[in-house]
Amino acid sequence: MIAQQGAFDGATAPRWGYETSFWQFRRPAFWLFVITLVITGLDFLAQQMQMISVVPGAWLTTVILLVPYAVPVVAIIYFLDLYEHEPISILAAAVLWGGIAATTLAMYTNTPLMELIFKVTGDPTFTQNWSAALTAPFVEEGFKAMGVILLVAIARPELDDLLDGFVWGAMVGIGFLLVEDVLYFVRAFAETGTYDTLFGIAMDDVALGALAYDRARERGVGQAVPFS
Amino acid sequence: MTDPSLEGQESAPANPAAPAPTPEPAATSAPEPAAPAAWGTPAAPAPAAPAPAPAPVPAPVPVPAPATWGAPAALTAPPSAPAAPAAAPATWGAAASPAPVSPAPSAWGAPAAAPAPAAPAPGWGAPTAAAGWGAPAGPMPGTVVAAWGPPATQPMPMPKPPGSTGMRTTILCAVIMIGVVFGANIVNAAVPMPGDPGPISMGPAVPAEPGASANPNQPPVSPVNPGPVTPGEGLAIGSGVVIYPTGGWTAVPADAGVTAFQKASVTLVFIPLAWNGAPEELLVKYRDLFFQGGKFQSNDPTSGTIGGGVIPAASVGYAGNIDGTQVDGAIVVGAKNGTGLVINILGPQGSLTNVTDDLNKVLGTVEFTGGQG
Repeated sequence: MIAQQGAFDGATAPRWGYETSFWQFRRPAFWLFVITLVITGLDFLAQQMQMISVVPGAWLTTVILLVPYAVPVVAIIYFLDLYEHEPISILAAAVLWGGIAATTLAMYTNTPLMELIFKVTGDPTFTQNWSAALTAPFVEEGFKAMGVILLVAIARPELDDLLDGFVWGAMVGIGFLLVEDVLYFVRAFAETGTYDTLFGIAMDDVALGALAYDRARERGVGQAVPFS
Repeated sequence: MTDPSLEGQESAPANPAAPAPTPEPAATSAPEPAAPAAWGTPAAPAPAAPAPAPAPVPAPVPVPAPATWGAPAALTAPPSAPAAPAAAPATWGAAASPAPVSPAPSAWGAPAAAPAPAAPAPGWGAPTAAAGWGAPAGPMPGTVVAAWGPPATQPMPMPKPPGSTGMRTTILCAVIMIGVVFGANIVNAAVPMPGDPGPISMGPAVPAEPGASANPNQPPVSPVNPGPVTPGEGLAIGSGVVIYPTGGWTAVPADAGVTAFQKASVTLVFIPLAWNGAPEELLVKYRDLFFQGGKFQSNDPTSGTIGGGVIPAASVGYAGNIDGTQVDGAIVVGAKNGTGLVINILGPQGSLTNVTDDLNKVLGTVEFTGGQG
């Protein structure tokens, strides 16, 4: 039986029989989500087109390499909630936020912060060793979390329990990871001219798993424990 | 008679955290005959179901105070307990009369009262003045709070009002995103580079090809003023060469004929000159001069194009050590129609990955505006 509206509306009871979608046109958060996605999407497309035009083979190779990695991971996340699978529209929005909005916003924030670290310290070695660890975990994880917060503001009734939040967050994380890896792969190819590094990065990601904990956090932890 | 405690446990709800029963509207649910609310002790004869008291405000869902399993009433509710008339049973196992209302707010884990409520729930947390009891919301004195549920005094989480659209959350998210992105860029632009890096001398050693007369009609250009560059704005750096730097780079002082930029710890140098030969030749010549006195290793030059595919070019990557710092670098040379352009980018080991996109854009947009045709 579905609880009556008003009596258990909101956070009081899991409502597994109640399903809503991402398309909540009356929610301001929905429009902020969409507008951010569109603006960052234009930049995202420009980035991808540039990579395709410069190294089309490497770009295509990265996509081919990532698909067999992404599909089972997404499936595992999707089927984690045995009692109620999350609506596809919300999960798709989460992946798009992680892959497009979070990556683009993080890119335009990480770079100036890294430069700022160099300006403040004046030490290129310190900047090289620590700038990514000092900026990326906070910036990237923050923008990922922003997507989850907006999704909650959009489709609050769909968030039934902690597992739902995990699934939404994991979808944002996997979206971010996939797009980030394309960038790493293409850069590696552009620098070395070979595909050797691509497989190394792919194996690194697969081995380290990185669903919600992406490479940036791994770097942060790695830098904090230099003797590990 | 079985052990009251055991009997109580057997009859206990399987899942204490299960949601409370949905209240029924008063108009459709007459008070049911009181179910034996006490387990393990003889229940008092259930009185006839009283009609719900005419309450000025709707009464909340009747939920008794946390119970103790099967404890007799005599042990849990002392005579002096401030129980109001017809108060909810304070403990499981206590003989109880059907309570039309209860002052104790519901809490997850607390077992629900047996009798159905006589009035619709007004909303969580709404105090009732139905009977004017002023009965304490907490457990009765002497009551042992069950370990599996929070105390009755813990209020339910307040649900969002039905009219809430999350506007404040949205505004807050927008402000944070805009503030972080623009704030980082504004602060970075406001902070100057640390000290004067000094003139960068990587160009004078490159000899122009004897006899070359590149762009004789090109007017001399002024050195690029030190400071942040404007992204996408063309800069004439001499010999008819125009480059379009990307954002984030800062022009720094350099020797005559050399234009240099810095971004974080990466240095990007442009050296336009007259050159009639192949770019591969200029590349090897420059590389050998640049490597003199240093510890560098490079791979074999590769040929390609720059300037959107119209300028033949050659490139080589290198690694080495400068003043104890491991550096990575790359030299790209373009030559066409008597004009040569040497581009040298270097930075601490691994740092070039941060500027690969910038370098690709600059290389793709460089123009040779003059030349011998």
